[in-house]
Amino acid sequence: MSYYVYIVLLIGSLVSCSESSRHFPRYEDFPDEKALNAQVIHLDTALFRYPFRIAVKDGIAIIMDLHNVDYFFHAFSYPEWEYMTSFGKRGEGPEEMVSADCFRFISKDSIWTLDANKMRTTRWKIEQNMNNIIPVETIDMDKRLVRALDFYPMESGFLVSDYLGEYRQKWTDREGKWIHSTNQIPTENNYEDIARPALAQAWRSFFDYNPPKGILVMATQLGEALEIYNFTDTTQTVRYGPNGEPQFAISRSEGIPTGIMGFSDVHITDHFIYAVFHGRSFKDIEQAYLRGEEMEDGGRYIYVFDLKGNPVRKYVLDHAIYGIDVDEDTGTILATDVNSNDPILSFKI
Amino acid sequence: MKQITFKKAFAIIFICALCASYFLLKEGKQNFTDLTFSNIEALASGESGSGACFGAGSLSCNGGYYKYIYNR
Repeated sequence: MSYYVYIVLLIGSLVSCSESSRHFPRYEDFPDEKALNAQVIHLDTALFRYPFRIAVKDGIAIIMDLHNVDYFFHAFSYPEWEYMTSFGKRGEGPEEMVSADCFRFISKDSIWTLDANKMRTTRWKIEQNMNNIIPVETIDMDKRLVRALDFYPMESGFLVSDYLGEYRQKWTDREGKWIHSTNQIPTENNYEDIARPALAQAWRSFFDYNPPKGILVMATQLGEALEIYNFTDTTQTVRYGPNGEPQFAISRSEGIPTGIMGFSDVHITDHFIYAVFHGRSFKDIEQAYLRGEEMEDGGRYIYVFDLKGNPVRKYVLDHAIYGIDVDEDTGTILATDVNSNDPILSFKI
Repeated sequence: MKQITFKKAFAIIFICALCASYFLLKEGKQNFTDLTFSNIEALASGESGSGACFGAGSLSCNGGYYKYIYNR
């Protein structure tokens, strides 16, 4: 008789260890809330169609335009905002980019761009006269990664977002060859095998990395999920917001968004995590489209968390924004606005 | 006595089979066939897919970025 008890216990333990039993902590609200008004930066040049990302370092601001027809990247002096140069020419040529999906401004001689369609990352450097940015090296990523939408250059190679849904991150060597994979999508639902790539698509996340602390933060574009991976002490923290994990419908291996637009950028400093949050439902977006209305694109919130993922503050903005750069020393958040002809905003925090 | 031994053996074999099938199935989840890979690559490069995408936006769809995706 006792054998049957053992069998029941074994089945119970197997079921309890399966993915469907996972449950992650939620945040409901923020202990502090503050309204921020933007100072609009007036540029002399009208360059942008969809300014998606911004990064500032060593007196230079670089802006990535997701839909530019000529060049994907534009450099300005900072804080003067005088136009310097553009780079990353759109095109099918050997040195041109089919798409620009992400960039990392590490230093003046280490600006990394990612072309997901070519699966190629390029390192650029700013020449000494400061008016030219040239390619220095090009690395073709391992084809087995299929596609990478976000990345970060590490000492040993590249940290890349996973596109296939098997894992959460993939690691390559300096030549772009896939070495190993880490973690899994922190979903609470149990999905069938066929849904894994669609699941990865739905869980498409933006990330930022703090090298001295060894902390990677990921924020989902759909839904409201934040992940913090501390590679130093190998801990993982997942926080769901009130909107929960990404919601989607599966159609022929593709994930079709059905819930809300969540985060559009995330930035980690030595003390805090800053994430731009939209919170707009796809139902509303669809209805606006059917009515022929142009709906505002971007988020009117910046959520601030500590490095453990605990909510600290919520900034409510007077403009909808997409990408951010945070300078805690000067108390400045620079942001991009895809809705306006004046696409650069500055907020004092 | 023989019956008890038979029951013991049966229970042990059953538990082993259950464990083996669980871990084999779990392992199988991580494996993609070549066909799956080519389908995913096709979707990634925009060769096929059921999603219809419109408007300039930030949602990755069929190799580009769009504002909204819906079922075709």
